[in-house]
Amino acid sequence: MVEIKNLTKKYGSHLAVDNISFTVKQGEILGFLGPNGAGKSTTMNILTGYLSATSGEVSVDGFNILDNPVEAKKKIGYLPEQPPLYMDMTVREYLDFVYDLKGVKEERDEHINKICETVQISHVADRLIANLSKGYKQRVGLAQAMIGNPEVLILDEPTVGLDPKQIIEIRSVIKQLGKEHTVILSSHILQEVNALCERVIIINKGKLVASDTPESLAKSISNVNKFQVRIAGEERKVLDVLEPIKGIKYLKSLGRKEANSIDFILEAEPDTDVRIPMFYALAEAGLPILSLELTELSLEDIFLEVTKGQGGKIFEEVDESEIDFVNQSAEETEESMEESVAEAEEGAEQ
Amino acid sequence: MNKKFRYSLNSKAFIIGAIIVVLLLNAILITLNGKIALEIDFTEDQIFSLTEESLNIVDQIDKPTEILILTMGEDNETLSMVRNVLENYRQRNDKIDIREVDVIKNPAEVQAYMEEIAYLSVNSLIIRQGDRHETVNAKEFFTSGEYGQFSYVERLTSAKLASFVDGVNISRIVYTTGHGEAASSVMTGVLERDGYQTGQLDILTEEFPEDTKTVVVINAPQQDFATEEISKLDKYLVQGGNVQIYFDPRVPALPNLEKYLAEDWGIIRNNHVILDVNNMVENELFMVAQIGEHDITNPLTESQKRAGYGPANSLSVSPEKPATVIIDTLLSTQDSAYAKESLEKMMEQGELQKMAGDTEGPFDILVAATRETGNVDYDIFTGRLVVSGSSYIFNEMAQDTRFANEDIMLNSINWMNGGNASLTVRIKQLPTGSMIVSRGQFWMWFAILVVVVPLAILGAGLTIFLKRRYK
Amino acid sequence: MKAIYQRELRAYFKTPVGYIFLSAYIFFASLLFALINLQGQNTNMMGFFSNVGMVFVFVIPVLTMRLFSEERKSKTDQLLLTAPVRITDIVFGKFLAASTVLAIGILATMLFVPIMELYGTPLIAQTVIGYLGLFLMGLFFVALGMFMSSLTESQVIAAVSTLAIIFFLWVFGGLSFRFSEIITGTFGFLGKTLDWLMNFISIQNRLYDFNLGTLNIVPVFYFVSLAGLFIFLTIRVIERRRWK
Repeated sequence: MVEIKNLTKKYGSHLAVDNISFTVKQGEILGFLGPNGAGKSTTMNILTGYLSATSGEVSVDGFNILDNPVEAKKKIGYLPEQPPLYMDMTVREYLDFVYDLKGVKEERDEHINKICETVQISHVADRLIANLSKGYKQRVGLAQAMIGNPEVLILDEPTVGLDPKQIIEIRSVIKQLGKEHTVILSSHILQEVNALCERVIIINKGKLVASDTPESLAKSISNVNKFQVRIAGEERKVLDVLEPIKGIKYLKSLGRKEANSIDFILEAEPDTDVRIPMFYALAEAGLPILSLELTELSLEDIFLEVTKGQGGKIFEEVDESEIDFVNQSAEETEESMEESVAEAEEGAEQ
Repeated sequence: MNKKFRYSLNSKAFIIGAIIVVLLLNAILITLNGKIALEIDFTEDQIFSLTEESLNIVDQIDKPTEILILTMGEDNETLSMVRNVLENYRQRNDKIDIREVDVIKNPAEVQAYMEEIAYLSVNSLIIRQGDRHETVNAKEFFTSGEYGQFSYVERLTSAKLASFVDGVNISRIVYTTGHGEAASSVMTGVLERDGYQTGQLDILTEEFPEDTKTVVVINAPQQDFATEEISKLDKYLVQGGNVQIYFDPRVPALPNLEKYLAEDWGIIRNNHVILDVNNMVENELFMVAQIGEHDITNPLTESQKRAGYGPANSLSVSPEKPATVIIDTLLSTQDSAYAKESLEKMMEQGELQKMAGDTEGPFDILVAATRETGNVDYDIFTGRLVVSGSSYIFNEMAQDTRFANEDIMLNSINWMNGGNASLTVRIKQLPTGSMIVSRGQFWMWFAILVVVVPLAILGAGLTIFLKRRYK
Repeated sequence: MKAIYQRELRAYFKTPVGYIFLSAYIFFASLLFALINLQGQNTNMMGFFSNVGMVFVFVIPVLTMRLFSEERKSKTDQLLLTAPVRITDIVFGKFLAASTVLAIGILATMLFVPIMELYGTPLIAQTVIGYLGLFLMGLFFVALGMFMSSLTESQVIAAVSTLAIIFFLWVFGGLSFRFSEIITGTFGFLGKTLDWLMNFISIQNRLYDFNLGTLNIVPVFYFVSLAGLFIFLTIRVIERRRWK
């Protein structure tokens, strides 16, 4: 359905996308995973014809985005990172405009109303977009992408900046959509991709790092061996109990977070579950476990996991740059943080 | 291929090329502007096209005729304007050829006209046909009018061209002397420029001309005419002569002259002073007249120009008008005009506004009359007379380009000459299209247009903005 | 193109922009009309036309500043450029919408003609040609303003730069209109070149032909070709940005 061949994009001398190739089959939900600044948005912008590639080809349902832009774009619904909303329009006016813009053939009211129901914005249809909350704006953006029933939906970070409830809602909508559409979804959150996608592509620094099913990806990182535990009791005592337990590779106290309890970070040896011995040992010592939760793996962790060669298909380039890879992605995260701060300031000025 | 085309369309070279092509085309057109005919004339009076009168003359040129434009090798605005005008002549008649002669580079070309050239300024014209030639001095192009230059060039050129056409006779205009008549150099200047001969006539000692191509003008006489002068005048008119009499409203009574006009022509001069402050033009003592229907004035009603008059006597038709006389009104006042008893009375009152006791208008101020007389051989002669209640109409005001008075004067001379094959090319100006708006009406529209409408639009915008803002 | 045209046109009238433009233009035009024609008791609108051009210098940037700047700023250009429409359609849609608002303004001030009809005889053909000249000049300004708007994300920069360029063309060219003879007389050949150049860029000289009531191919081509050029340049700017 979507075919990308040797895609490269340069901004001046900076290589934003470096020779990426992949295909997306009809009906597939593809996750596009990578840290901020990895080239996800650039790739998606090229896919949708907003930007032109420096070299390489993109075709959608056989139509080349450069040679046949109008035909190719007809097949695509795009939700960019920042939903392209006209703040001075009402939701209904906006969707009507998108309907006209895309030259949709279906019956207008029926089509638009159906989409509004799907993303649950019917009750705000007559409100000014500027006055909507971020979550609703995101939904209007999604509705916009859905207008004309495009065969391919391209969603760039559809849940970023939303609160947890909104994230859950949007995810369920996307899951719904995946039943009828080919979806390409970008995210920097593993769980999101895991939950929604049939296949995941990982991209970093403009390069394709891995391409796999979430199952094998999950498998590679399923060895739940890093967690945070809260234990009632004194730190010294707890340490005395825990230290002798076999398989604990790393243990660190995080200090007091709740009265009369201590939080610890705990990491086990691979392929070892230390939770059961830990439970009995603590119970015996009269130190009750108040909570136990798996630490969310950062994307960097996943990359580390993936690139360690456990289950994932690994690209050579990654192996070479494995060592400084984590550092760099951390730097980039910092960079993008600065960017977003700068943006926020800019916004404040207006 | 498609992609290649896209790339080339986007290349810098292509974009710069497009910019250069557009600028170049414009540069060429702007440079050509004025040199070739690139325009359609939509002005009310078609001021940038030749008049019927010119075309009539141009059409009668049947021998090769060359018009030389004398230049000093430099381009200037006047030259392009002259070219523009003459181009119209060439397009109309292929016997006419236009050529520019650089008098510095090619003095030999104009050797034969050296004597005249000494008096001519740059851009002057020499019109030659066979071994005859006429000159048009470019100094005259600027006599008046901001937008009327086209017309002046045309008028002068056509006037000189006319001398190469058989059957267009040059008329003579003679001014009577001996009664303190005004010597209007303004008027004679205008007439001479247009190809008329002017002269003087002392009625007491000299005889009236025999031909009917002469117009005798009695311009603002201060003293009355003697009885034998009146009978000479009448004799001239009986033969089919042409006379124009302009009264000076400051002069009280001219019993003999007025008696003659009243009895023989049925035209009465009423010696009061007409004013109309409501129709004054730009606060001068010039007022806007109503233009009557007549061969003399009909061309004006089309051109939208206003005719004006200064303080004037009114003219009326005597109930005992002879049946052989036909009188037509050329100009009359607006309905709002009124007449003060006399100039002295007005000065005494020191008031221009209408007062109790003033006679109410409207009044006639300029009339044209014809009288048919027969002799024993049953030949019929038509004497033509134009009488003006105000000498201002054809003196001071004839040169005022705001008014059509000059046209009326020239048209009346044409009319006296039989009206056809007219020599004079009417000067056309961009029309000033008059409009009478009272103070009250002005402020009403000012309030509506400048205040109410913009505020209403702004208010509508604000309402919609605020309404939507909280949606 | 129709969708973009409609949205853009509605945006003018659902935000204050269209009203501000119309009300400012009608205010100044009416002021000129009242003072020149009503007070001067004169139905010849030449004086009106040569002055109202200056009003355009100041109000057209209001009309054009947001055309592309705002799209880029709010990222809505991503919607337009990824929709199945050609860039040419997007640019023309916006140009036509701004031109429509301009035309509404000009048509509104054409009501001056029937007002004059009440009190005198308007010179209809000549006046209509004058309005036509005004409209064509406006199209050129709109295209120029749209181009400036495509270069920057800031509406203010777009408006100010448009104003500065038009003002320069108007004033610098205007010098030639008034002082041509002095300039050529004083500075010889250099002066002549300068004068030619000033005449070449002079908007007032182009507009003057219309004001006289003549439909001359030179100024018609001047305004239309320059409007076309700036529309073309706008398309190229947007196209090229994708390749950056």
